[in-house]
Amino acid sequence: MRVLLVGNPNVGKSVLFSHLTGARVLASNYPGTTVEITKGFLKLGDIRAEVIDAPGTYGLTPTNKAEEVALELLNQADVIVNVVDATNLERNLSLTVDLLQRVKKPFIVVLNMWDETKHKGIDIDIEKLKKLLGVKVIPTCGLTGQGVKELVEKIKTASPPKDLEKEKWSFIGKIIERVQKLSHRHHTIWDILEEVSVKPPWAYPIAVAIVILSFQVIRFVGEGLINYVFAPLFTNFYTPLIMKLSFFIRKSSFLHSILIGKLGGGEIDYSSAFGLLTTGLYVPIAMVLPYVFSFYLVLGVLEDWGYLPRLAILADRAFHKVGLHGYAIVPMVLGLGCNVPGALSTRLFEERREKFIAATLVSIAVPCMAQSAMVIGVLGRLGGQFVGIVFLILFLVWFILGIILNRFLKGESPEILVEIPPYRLPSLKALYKKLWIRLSWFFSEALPYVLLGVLFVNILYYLKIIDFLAVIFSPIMTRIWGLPDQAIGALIVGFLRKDVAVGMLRPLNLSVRQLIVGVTILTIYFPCVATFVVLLRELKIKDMLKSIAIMLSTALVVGGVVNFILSLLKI
Amino acid sequence: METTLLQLESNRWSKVKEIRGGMGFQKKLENLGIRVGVRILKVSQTPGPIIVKVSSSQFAIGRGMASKIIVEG
Repeated sequence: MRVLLVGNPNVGKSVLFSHLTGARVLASNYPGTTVEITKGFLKLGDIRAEVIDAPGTYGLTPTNKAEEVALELLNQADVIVNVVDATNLERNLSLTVDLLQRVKKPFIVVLNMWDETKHKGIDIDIEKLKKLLGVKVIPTCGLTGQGVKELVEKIKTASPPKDLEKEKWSFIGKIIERVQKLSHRHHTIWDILEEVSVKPPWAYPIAVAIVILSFQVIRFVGEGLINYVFAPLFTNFYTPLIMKLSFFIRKSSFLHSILIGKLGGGEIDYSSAFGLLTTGLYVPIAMVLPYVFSFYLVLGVLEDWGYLPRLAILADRAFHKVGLHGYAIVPMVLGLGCNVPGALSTRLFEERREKFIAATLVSIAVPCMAQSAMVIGVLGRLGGQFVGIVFLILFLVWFILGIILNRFLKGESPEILVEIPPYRLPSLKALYKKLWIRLSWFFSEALPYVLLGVLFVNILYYLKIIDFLAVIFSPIMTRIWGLPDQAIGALIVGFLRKDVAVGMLRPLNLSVRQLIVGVTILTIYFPCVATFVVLLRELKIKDMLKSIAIMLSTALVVGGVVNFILSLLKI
Repeated sequence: METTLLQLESNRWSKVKEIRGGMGFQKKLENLGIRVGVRILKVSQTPGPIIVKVSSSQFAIGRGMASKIIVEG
């Protein structure tokens, strides 16, 4: 048996899905968190039902890829669970009535966010609503899980809808008039905050303050975790262990270089030793994880509180200059964490051109947190201002390349049309769950690639492949970018993992200028393999090839220009 | 003289009189609950989109779209 959760965006389908199946899925307070289908299982007595969480949709004619995906599922489902935001009954009923008229399958309406109706002075008569719609109606609260048990009990006995009145809006009007009573309520502090954050002029300084504060917190927490937790843990407990191990393995053996790597003067420089047990563990755990943790902690708060769509509105004009609209801030912000979800969320866009620009900009100029953490780790020790220069360069590349793409690609940028969710106080439990999902994703998806990357580096050096490629690419590396030709190794490993690649620049004894050029090129020239796979699927081969051509030429030009300008500035 | 949603002053309630543009555009707005006859509040106007409230939902609508929505002046 297949149970499909369907409903408008941002009504809480994913939270309900988690309650039903126990599966962990990301949920947030903005429309479009779910862009892919998620499947899970639910035990209904002696049968196992498949539950499907689909992207939200406003109507039965799809306007983007995510909605298309949701609607395709309607035909395959055996039971339809239509999730409705009880605080927005009238609008949500539009889809409900469309579905009831079209789909003659067992049907249940779930009135989610039931708890919020009380604060908002909304009173809904469930019995009357049941009668009018002719199907079961169950109130639920995603946050507490209230009503989920009742929903599970009723899935098996759900019945298909009867014929309804043909004229949709007059029917909905009648329903609202009979079942919903609104009582007046005073403005709350939330209402005032909501208003202020989209009203110029104050909305802008507030946005700037929130963005700066967010980055400060990310830095503070990330740095704190490294300096006071992870680095001491490694030095005090792990290093002695590795030193003992090193003592038992012959220094010149391949095993030693694979497991432990190069030890300089009896000390371990974890970021440049390049053994599986040294760099392979230290980079992801002690250098990257703290920042990934702090980034997703802050992002989770921004997402659940409901600020992202507001930021999108304020950034709309700037995004139009690069051929996108403000909601493209979602793939960009997600991309700062990891380019994979960033690339995936381009499904929110309707036009091919828009998708192309967004995906290309994410993979060229948005460094993922793993890479940023390494840039901070490697370049930051020479001076914080150099990290700033790298981010400034990437921002300029993003903006200038965007303007160029907007200018030369046919078509124009569509306008924003998006629902703005109410502010909600993020629940600690939900934040914790979300952070956990993202961190376990990091461990299961990123960590193996890091180890693979380190192993790969060893093999490349062992087989002298890097020396060979260094000769071939030497003209570009040295003449245009001013890098030693050995740096080609970092570009090769960058296909696998950008963090390991940045680490590879360390043992080359680069100057500050070379490091800045190196990490900038590493961001631009090509996405990592995980992002590449997603991009290929989303853009299809033809657009992907175009995008790659843009990536490589941008890397070539920007690397050269940055090298030139920095040399003029005597950096 | 007709007033578009773009021209309407902020903080004012009005009623949608007409929606211009293709069927796709009209349908898209209808799915959001923005259709002829509904009451609409213009919450604010940013240099980018305008913010409106219809029943209990808020939306950001681009200027071009807003100029195709005719409201009671």
